[in-house]
Amino acid sequence: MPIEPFKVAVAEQVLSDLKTRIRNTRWPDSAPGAPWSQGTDLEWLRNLLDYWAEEFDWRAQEQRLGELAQFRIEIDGVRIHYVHARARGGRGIPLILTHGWPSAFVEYLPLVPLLTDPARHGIDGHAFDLVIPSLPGYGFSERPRRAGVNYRYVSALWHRLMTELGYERYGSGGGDFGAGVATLMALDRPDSIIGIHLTNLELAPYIGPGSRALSPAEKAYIGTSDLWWQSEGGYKAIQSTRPQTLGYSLNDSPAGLAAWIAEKWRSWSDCHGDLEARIPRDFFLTLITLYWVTGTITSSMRDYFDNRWHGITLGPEDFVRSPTAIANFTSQYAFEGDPPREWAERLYNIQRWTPMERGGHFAPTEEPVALARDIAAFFASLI
Amino acid sequence: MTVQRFDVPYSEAAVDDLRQRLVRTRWPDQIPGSRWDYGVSLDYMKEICQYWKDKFDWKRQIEKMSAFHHYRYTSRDVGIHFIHERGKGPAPIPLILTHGWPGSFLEMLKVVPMLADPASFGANSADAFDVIVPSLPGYGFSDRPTESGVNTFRIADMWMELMKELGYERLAAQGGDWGADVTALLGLRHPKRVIGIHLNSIPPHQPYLEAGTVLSEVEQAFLNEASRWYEKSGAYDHIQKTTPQTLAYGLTDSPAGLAAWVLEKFRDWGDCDGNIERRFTKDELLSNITLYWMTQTIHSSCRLYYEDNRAPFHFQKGDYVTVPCGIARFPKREGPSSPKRWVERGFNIQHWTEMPRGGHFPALEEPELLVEDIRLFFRALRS
Repeated sequence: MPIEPFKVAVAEQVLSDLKTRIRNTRWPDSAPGAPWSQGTDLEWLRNLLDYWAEEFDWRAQEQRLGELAQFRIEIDGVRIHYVHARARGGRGIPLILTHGWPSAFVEYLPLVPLLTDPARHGIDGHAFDLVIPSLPGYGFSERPRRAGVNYRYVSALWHRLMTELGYERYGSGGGDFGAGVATLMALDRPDSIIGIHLTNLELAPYIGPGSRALSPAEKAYIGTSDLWWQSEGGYKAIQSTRPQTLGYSLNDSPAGLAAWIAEKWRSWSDCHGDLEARIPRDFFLTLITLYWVTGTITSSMRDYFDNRWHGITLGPEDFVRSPTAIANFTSQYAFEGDPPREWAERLYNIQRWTPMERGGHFAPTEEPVALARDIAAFFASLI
Repeated sequence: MTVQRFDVPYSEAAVDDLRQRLVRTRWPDQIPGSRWDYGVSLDYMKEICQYWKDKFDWKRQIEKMSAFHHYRYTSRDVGIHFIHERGKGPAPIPLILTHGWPGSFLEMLKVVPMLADPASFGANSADAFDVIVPSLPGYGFSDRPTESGVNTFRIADMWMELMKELGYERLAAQGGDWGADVTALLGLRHPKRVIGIHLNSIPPHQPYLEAGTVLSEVEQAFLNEASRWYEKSGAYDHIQKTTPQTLAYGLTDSPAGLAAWVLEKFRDWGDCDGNIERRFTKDELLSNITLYWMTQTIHSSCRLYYEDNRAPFHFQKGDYVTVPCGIARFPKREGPSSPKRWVERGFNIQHWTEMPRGGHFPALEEPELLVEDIRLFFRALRS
């Protein structure tokens, strides 16, 4: 499993082509009714794309990313990209942090200074050795050219990566797909896992025959989730059934790509409908540019397909015995429900449960300090 | 409110721009050998887009369209495009044919002359119709609605207005997909003016069910099958009825993206056993797609799903379509088809034909079968 240093360096021609495409965008008309009521607002997006083409400085972002130690490891013929940020002043607690969709490793970078040198930031607890990979098929990680790249598959890859880096026991954390991967790491290799820390619940527990009856809070949560699915779930329906069909437009149109991803960041972050009040424009465009220059929106969407049709089914015997912390960031603009602790306890050995007052789906970028404190406190209690 | 002659527009500059965009298409990757598993196959997309770029002749298609008489009618604020061909026979009756999504008036071009001038096709001139083929609002050369509320109910009322303007007090109506909904609503809302309705797909209507109604086994099986179908194949509907604007950016900016989104439905819903060109020529497929492209109407066409979701076609207590209804059921459909019993709860079924072959686009796929069935059904209703 060869490991090579990696530096983000996008060819000039790719960037100039991107600018040309943005300037040549063929815009649709605006939907009638309130802005954003039928999806990403036209005026908002035009504004964003104008900035993307004329003012956004990718090279400056590249330079900032270049300050982090990055590598690519080849596992089974597939190169996986990761950031490796070691604890300041010696050995830290090894912790692998995994992003989800539509996101990237950059979502987790605000945690790097806080967790590699917590004392300096007034955070109690040990320092960490952080490993922040890009999921297969996202950014600079390749995706195996086959079906079935699901949470379990990725969790096995991550274990091999951590072992290769010399970490025998380690923590795992994440949100969205990353929470699913962390869960499978603990289910399949409990001996290697110190504990897992999740910022949202990706996997629903088994609630079939033989399980405890649903509590009123659980019923309310499921009801809210169902309503959310009806109004917000179209992206998931299409990505889990026809990702390739959608991919043609999103990979060919910067406007299409930006609109698709912006809608989700706006709905899922704690932004009260004003994305840029929560998520800096340059950060958001760094994320979109990553998807664009690597041409990975289609491969990223395959996660939905593979986890649905080639996925895993949790049964009554599945229980995560490793200590688990949930930092419950539920302040999404499009409220998805507030999972009660007993819901999570069906699947996890919950040792720490922190309701968060602010912050939505993208906690590491939205509320890095609150999240870092929670992670540090959780792992301090385990060692 | 006026009816004016309309010449189908052609723009060389627009054709050049389309070619340029096709040349620059940035293709996504595909899992080798996955064919159509994840959506439209990359190999087929490359093949048809190359044909589109190098061989497809839009000007020639426009010339073919221009052999028909085109008009525009302004109904309140929405301009409606339609073809109007007078029947050749002793007593033609007016017949309005309504297309659906992702089709257009172009679907009907084979059947218009057969219906208007049966004698020229070896049939009886007594079966002649005055044929009117409108483009739905937001489709083709009809205006894009700029206000909310242009749903199937409004469209049915517009059709009546248009027919009155053309001097037709009473009329026959035919349609499939959205056209079936509109046609059914013509029958429901304007029974005195409608001679009969002929549907080649059964509207996904919800009949009014008294509390405690016991469904037959067949009906229950249909509902179960419909919900399974929706899970696997209904994502386009889910996204188009909730956030069509988000989807529209990529489809308006990328010809390949638009082609994939539309083609998929012709392959899935046509009676083609997975081989799309067994049923549709590249020219037929690309004429329809180019119409969407040139008129920039993919967004407004998808908005009909959004509008329908806000005002769905559900029968209320006492709703029943009393005018005679004929059904031509083609074996290949977009989803499971309602059993006769279910349809009879809402419609006065006088005629029911199980077709030997053909799918969701019968006017293109099986024009002779469709035309013969339309003639047969209305023959009994001519007085």
